[in-house]
Amino acid sequence: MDPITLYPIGAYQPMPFPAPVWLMETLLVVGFFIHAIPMNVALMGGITSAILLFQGKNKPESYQQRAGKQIAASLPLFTTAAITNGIVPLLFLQILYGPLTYTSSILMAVPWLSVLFLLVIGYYGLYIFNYGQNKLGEKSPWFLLGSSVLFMVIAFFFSNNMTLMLTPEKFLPMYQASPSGMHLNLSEPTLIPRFVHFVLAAVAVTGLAIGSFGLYFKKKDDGYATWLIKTGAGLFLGITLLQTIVGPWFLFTLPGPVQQQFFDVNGAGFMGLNKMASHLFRTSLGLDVIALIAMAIAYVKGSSKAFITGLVSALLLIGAMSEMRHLVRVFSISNILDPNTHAVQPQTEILIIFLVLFVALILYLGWLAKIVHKAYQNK
Amino acid sequence: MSYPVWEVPNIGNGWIIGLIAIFHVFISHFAIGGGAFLALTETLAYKKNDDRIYDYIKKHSKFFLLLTTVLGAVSGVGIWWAIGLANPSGASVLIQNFGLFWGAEWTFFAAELATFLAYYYTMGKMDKKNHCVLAWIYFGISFGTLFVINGILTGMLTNGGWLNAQGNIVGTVYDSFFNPAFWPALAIRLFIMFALAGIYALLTASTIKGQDDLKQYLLRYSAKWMLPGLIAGPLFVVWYMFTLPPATQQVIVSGLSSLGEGNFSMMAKVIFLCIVFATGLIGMVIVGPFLNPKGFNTTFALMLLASGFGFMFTEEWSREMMRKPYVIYNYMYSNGLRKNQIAQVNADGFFKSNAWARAEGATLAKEDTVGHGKLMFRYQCMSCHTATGNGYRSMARLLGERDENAIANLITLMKDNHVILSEESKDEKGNTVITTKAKTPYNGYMPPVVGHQDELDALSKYLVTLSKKGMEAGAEKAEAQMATESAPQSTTTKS
Repeated sequence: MDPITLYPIGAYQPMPFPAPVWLMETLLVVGFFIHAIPMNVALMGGITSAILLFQGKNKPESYQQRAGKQIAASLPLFTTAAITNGIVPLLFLQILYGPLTYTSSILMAVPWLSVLFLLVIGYYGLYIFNYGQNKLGEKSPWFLLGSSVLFMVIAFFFSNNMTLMLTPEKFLPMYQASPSGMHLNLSEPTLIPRFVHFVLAAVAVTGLAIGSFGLYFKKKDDGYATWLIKTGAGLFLGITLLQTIVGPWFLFTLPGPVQQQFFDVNGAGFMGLNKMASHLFRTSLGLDVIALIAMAIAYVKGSSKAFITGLVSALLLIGAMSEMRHLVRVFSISNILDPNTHAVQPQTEILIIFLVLFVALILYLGWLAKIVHKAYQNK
Repeated sequence: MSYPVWEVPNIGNGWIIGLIAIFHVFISHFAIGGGAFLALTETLAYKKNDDRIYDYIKKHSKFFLLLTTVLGAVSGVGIWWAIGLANPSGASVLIQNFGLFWGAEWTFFAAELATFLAYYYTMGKMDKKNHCVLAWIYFGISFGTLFVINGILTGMLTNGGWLNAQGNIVGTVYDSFFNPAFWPALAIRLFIMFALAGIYALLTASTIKGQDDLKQYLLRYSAKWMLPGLIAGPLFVVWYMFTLPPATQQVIVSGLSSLGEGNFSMMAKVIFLCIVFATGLIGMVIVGPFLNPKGFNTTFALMLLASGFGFMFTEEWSREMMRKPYVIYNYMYSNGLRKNQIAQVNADGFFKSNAWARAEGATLAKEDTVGHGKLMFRYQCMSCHTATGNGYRSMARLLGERDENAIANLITLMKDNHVILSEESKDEKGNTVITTKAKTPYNGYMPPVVGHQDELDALSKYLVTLSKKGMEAGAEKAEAQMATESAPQSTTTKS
């Protein structure tokens, strides 16, 4: 049978890619990493800060109140960074996997478009808390909670789209059932474990952010800083222990051939079929263990050094997981769409300009952070 | 040509892009022009050492923060979102061709937002001179975002040496980016941005209470931000018009020249409205805040803002219409068909050339002509037309009383929408003169209909079902069927 009638997926435009595929894949993964960190805090920071504020409700001087307000004040910044940095992975996702991702987006056009509205409402919810907490009083944390819930809906829609794009066999029946873009990918076995795994990770990353606040306050207020480090480390620790159940749940719902690339029960030492994926998987487990031990020490002792060790391991772990997430996609669709088969003609001049601008941006942001820090120190 | 069509009842999916885009442009232009406004106004406050102006800047910045970093940023991403849904083929050309330009745009965008947040949160905490420098850096970086997007946007209409007449790519991406309209469009947008910065500032200045002298000073100051556009704007608009493709120029000129006869083309209507909004706005600003700042209030400011929105709405709409029937001029039509594909699709057949039509068609019975016609309509027409009812460019309304023959003739005619006829003649001096003329009146408005004759016939058959006559026939058929089904049945037995 004509394969197109089974998998009607789009085609790349008949013009070469502007940069090598490996470079764009790297930018996709790096872009996802720099998006995921602030996005995770923006996603679950609202709930976390609301819980802290509810805990310290009748104790205005409590650490909970102080931390809740400080996290909430930072959330618009994390949200801005999440949106801005989200452009990079989406851009390279569309270049490399456009034929799949445009189609899956169209099938769920209405929920996909609603992401924008949910984002705006949630974003304003954060500002309403920050500018209106004195007027709103005890009710104000509900805005933080509401924003987090809206952001979770967005995350759910993203999980739907990112899984739907990997299953083009669903495209035609879905579209024929309705062309008005009202679908979700609810029948997908990996959907719920993937969503739960990622949302829990967001709580753990929020823990990292709270502990990092502690590092910032270390010289100013040791007692408060230690409390922040212990709270952040504890949050990371608890959630990451929970992930030891959710992680394998997600792993074992992945299609067998995809799983086998990372981990094979029949392989020597459980080595998967793909060397890089297997090493990455093992490295992640190692980093996970280091992060857990370091965070356990930080949780018990409030030690900055232990927290920094845990933080660095956790960031490396997120980096490794970002790459694994990408590999899951590559393995899932390699027999359907392979960007490596498309022609490449590097646009050298603009490629150099882009890379120079990218480095300049990092340096500039560093300088900006320095002058802002200095301004706050002076006051 | 490679994607399913997102069906949006009544308004069609194109307007989803349009509405988000116009909304975004109205805010994003403020984000850039407003950067210049903040920088100049803060310089003014610094030179005058006037804390009252600083207080105003603080209030204005908060408004700026809440509007541009939330609605401006999200709606900007929203255009991209919507293009991917409503015109994925067009989006994929822009992404594949300009991918690294978008990357460069992102670096400016990230720096722009970070700079504004740094600017806003260090207000009153940083040395005044350095804070002023930060405002200028913000404007410089936000201008960078305009520079990049301007090249991509103008390249969609005036793509210079990127393409040849047949719509084949013969140049480089830089030919498309630094296209003939790049500089005039950059200047025009900058003038619009300054004007919008002034209009938004009039709104925030109008809310100042108890400081009449400061309020009046700031109102007159903000009104002056219309001046660059007023003085130099028309020159750059004329320059811009001369860079447009000849066919587009002709559509504009013929539309505007027929205004006197009351024969408004849609484009003429929109351009006319745009001029009305622009002149009305300038007039209201001169008569209002500039000459009579005492009587100026927030309601008046909101009216100016609404007029500004009207201007942007019509300006962006007319710019979009200038590109018709293309999404990327001379390269890709609004339905995703590439100009250089026409001959191939006509030879191979539409269903064979379009993955989705082919897959959907395979689920239909071969003799289901109307079903195949519906698919032709979906994949070739629905990017601009709705099918039934009174929706946007609804075929039911446009076909009206046409019968099957008239519709079939129309489709045959539209097959040659892209054909330009040329005629050689001699002038008085004996020189050869070549005159060109479009073969059909729909050239410049609609893409050609493509496919084998039986596919075009199927489209005609489907369109008939949408026309008034087809609907009536359908209703009669349904009534007859119902009557047959509900008629009492009798059985007679003969012995």
